[in-house]
Amino acid sequence: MKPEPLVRAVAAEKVYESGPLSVRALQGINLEILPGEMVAIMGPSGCGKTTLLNCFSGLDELTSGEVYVDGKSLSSMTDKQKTEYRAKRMGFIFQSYNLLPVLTAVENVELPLLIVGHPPKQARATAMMIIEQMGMKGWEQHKPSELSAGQQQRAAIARALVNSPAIVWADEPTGNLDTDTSRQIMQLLKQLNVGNRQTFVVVTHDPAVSEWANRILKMRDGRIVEDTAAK
Amino acid sequence: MRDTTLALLLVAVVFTVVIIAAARRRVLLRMSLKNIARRKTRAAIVVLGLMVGTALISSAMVVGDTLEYIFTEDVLQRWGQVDEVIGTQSAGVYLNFTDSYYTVLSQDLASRNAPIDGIAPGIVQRLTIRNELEGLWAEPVSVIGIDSALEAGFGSLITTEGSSVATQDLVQGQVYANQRVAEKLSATPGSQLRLYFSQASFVVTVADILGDKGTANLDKQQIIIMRLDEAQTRFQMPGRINFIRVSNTGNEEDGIQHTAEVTAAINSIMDAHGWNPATRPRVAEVKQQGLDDARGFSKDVTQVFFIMGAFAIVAGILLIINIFVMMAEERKSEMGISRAVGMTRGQLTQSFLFEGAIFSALSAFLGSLVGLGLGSLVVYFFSVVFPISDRGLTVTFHFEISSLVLAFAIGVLITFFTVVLTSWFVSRLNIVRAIRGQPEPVPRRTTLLEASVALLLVLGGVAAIWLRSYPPANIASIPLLILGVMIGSLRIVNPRYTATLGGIGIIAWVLGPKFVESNEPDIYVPFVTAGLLLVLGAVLIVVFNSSPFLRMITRFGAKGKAHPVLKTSLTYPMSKKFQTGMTLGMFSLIMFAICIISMIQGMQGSAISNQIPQQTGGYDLVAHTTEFKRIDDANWSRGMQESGVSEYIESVSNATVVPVGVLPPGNTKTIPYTLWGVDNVLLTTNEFGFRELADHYYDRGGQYHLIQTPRDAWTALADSDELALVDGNAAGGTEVSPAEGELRLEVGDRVSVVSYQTGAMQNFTILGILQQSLPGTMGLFVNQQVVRGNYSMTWSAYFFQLRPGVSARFVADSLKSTFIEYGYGLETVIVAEVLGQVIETADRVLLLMQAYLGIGLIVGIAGVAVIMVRAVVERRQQIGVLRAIGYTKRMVMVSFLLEISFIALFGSVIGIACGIVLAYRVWSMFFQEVTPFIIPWLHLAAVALIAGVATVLATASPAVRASKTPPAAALRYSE
Ligand SMILES: Nc1ncnc2c1ncn2[C@@H]1O[C@H](COP(=O)(O)OP(=O)(O)OP(=O)(O)O)[C@@H](O)[C@H]1O
Ligand SMILES: [Mg+2]
Repeated sequence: MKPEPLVRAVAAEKVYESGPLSVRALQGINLEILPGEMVAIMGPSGCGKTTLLNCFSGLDELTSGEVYVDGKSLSSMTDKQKTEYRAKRMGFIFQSYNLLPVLTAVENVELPLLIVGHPPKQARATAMMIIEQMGMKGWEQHKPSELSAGQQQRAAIARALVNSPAIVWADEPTGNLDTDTSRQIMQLLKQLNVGNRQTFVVVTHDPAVSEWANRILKMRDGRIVEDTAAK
Repeated sequence: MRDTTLALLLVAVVFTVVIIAAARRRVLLRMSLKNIARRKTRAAIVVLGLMVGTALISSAMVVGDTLEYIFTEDVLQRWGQVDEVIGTQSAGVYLNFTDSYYTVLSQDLASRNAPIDGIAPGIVQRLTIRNELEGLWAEPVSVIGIDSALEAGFGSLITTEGSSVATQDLVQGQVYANQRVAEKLSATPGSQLRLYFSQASFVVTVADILGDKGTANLDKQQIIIMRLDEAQTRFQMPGRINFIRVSNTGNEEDGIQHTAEVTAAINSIMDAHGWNPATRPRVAEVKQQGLDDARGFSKDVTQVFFIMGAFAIVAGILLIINIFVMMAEERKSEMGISRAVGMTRGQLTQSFLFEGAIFSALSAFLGSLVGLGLGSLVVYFFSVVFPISDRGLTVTFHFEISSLVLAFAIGVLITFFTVVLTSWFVSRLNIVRAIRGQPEPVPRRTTLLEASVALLLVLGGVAAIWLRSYPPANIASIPLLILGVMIGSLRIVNPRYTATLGGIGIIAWVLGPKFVESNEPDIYVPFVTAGLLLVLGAVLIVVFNSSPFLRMITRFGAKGKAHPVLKTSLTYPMSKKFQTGMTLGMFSLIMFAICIISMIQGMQGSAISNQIPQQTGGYDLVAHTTEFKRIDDANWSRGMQESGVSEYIESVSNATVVPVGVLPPGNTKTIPYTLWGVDNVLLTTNEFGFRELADHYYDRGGQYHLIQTPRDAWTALADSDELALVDGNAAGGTEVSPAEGELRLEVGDRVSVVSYQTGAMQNFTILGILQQSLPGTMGLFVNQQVVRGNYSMTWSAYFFQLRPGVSARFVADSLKSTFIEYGYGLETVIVAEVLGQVIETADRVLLLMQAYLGIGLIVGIAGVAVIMVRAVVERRQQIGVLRAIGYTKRMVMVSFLLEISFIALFGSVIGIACGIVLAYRVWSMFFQEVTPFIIPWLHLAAVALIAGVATVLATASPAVRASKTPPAAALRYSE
């Protein structure tokens, strides 16, 4: 039996209107992402990868078409419901890490737990566990500006994973890292993917990164032009 | 006119340098211009923020200009061509002298070629007048006798119709009335007026009505003009006059340049003729004095505005720094890239400077104009709040261009130099970090910059110690040293410890025993310095110690979802200590100033009400005759009976008053004053308080008595004929009311009193100085027999204690209308009214100050709003992240509002706490004896609440905007 898809898009369209120009960033995308998949999205710059990520995660709205997450249509949810969904079921990793500069590493990591109302002590304990898993022990009291790029991204990943999300959206998670660090990060993600059956959607330019995925989507001009299962 | 040379010169130098630099590097200039043009709203906000300081400066100056203009105009209208008046005035009455003085003076002045173009004799008599047909009264009216033939140099008399008339046109029994008195009495040409003089009265006919100008407007009185010869007969002064007017060459305003010369000439003529200096008429430099007073008063008011405004102006400077630091931060990566592509640090600073120069010129220009508007607003309030039209003043808005220019120059310089410093600091950035938008790392060792700033501060402190005889330097000295050490040890010791210790040190120093010494003539400048330092110390302590406190709030203050919101809202201000410090400082300074004003207002009110019994002596009404005419006891009891007021009166005391010259110890010239011989009822019933009192006296028989209570001092007057008490003005005024007159005495002084009639001298020892300094009861108080026995030209004064609930106004009017029938014009002082006016005036000044500071508060709030708008832009991407990981819109909005509320709350607390502490220090030094220490909690809470609510409202819109940030777009921002 085929498992229920975690994310399902039907004829998803996104048009950016900026003045007289309009850009069709997504052009009729149909896609299903299953639990436990590790999907890599590749394609040339400007083809719509980030747009897809934003629209499928509820950070942005489609112009037409529909995205269902856990079987529920995103467009039928209020902003509040989408936010709550993100807080409980999703994690985000960004190319430039986007840690809050004024919080320490551990404070950044525990923030998603606090948002959903975990007691501070418990949140701190969970955050420390994840930080340790990420090999960041000893750096938890440092501010982002005092961490290396790799360390910052580890902290960002820890933040994305701390509330055990069903799905993690990663936009060029290794874009700013050197090859070695990239590999370590991807290894980490893969372990979590396999170990916890968490779903990952990773946008990347880097073929070395996409090798870790079990499914590769190639995009061009707002369309998915190739959908291959990796070996 | 203000001297703008130096300020303009500095501005010229700055702008020449900038323009030359700009001409040499047009690329940079173009870059700056583009930067400004690119974001118009931002540019508008920046200009708005920068112009605040200039606007405050310019408004204070414009208010000063207007006041000076109003009062100067008033003096010129009052005196017209008259520059000096020769005559002796005692309690508003001129004493007469022979008219040969006039002949001698006019001849001698002419032969000496003194710079005068007019000298004229006259008689002025203060009277009560009645228009019997209309049943209307006017008092006091100055009835002036002049001779138009001698009036050359003073302008002719002009009727309301515009035709010029002369006293030669008048026949016996005809007079001219000025408009002021004509209106009061509904008099027209042909009206019959009854003048009450001496026991008799006589009727005159109004020949014409004169416009209130020139001689018909003298001292802005109600005036009746008659022929000099008729005045001499009517007022029983054959061959005598009582004042001589002198007009210097030149027009109304520039004639005063000869005042000193003319006065000297007149005195030397009098000396040459051997006229007795104790009894001869005195020269009063009326116009010079009036103009000096006008200028002094407006300067004082401007200064008070400056002082209270100083806190707001410093807050404005903090806002400028804040804005430029934010602008720099915002553009860091852009600047990093410029540097990466080969721009030198110097060039970068320059391009920033060009922008700063354009901004400062623009904002200072607009600021001085906005200040003009603010000034006119303050003047408008002034005219509403002070009914000065009652005193014949007209409020006309007036300003000098030079004030605007000066405000502009000061504004440009302050803004520009703030920008120079900020941009220089900012240009010292690390290229790579700037491009990646990373904060500068914290250096581990003291940098050269820090070392030099520290050294400069320490040197400044040492210099200040050296200059410590100058009060502001004295106050600033130790704090400068502390700051120097603080910065120098920044990398060696945890800054939290140094900042805390430093803050405590500064506060301790400011409040310590070295605080403003009471004998300093000008407490304002050290006061401002002390206030600024106090707030600085408090902000240092709070900024560096709030973390544990705020962490505790976060831990226990909120559960569930509120917890992360509280956490983010508190972490941002805590981690940007500099910016938070600046914002806090700005807010605190304004709250501080408002707090101080409120406290002064409260305590002044209480001081005045505490002083009422001591000021009034327990009397409700004082009445005195308007001429040198004592009401004899028989007439008095008859009048009292007839007026029917006896049943309303608890007690009456009386005094016999005589004008005298007082010769204080060490003086050669007498000062016109009055001698009050008080009766036994007054000695035993009054409740007057003393400012100073001797501890013993010797009676007639040479016996020693201790003075233990104020009553002892009064009974001493009955025991001796050589003891006197003097009114409060002699001690130089109180905190509540400034001193009148020039007589200054101390307890134990031995003064000589000279009779103007006989030149006889009598000596008195001053036993005490009274609290009371009411107008109309200024004088030396002695035993009644001393006055009755030695002087004849006296008048009577009565002190009434009324039954509870009786209207003093009613009693006063009944007395007046009864006694006028007996030929006694009575003037009355309703004590409560006079004191009420004093309280009201003081209250209104402070109200005006609060309104002015309200403008400052708007500044503070606008500043916080600007900072908030910037913060929302700056943190756009972070808002996107928060939204992605689960912050709802509401959480984002609340987080921003909480952040600002904390700043407003801490700012209010710091400002109010510092205000209370400094006010306490000032109170304990100067006001302890006149009022208890009062903290107007309710008022302060209201101000803080208003400020808080206004701040939240002002920042609501950026907070809402932040919450509406679409997360996807925000995350994309600047990537
Ligand atoms: N807010 C926006 N307004 C207008 N056009 C936009 C907006 N965001 C993206 N676009 C356009 O939509 C298209 C897709 O952009 P998107 O960021 O999804 O591309 P991408 O595949 O992520 O590219 P990259 O690999 O460079 O990140 C681009 O042409 C871009 O210019
Ligand atoms: Mg992208």
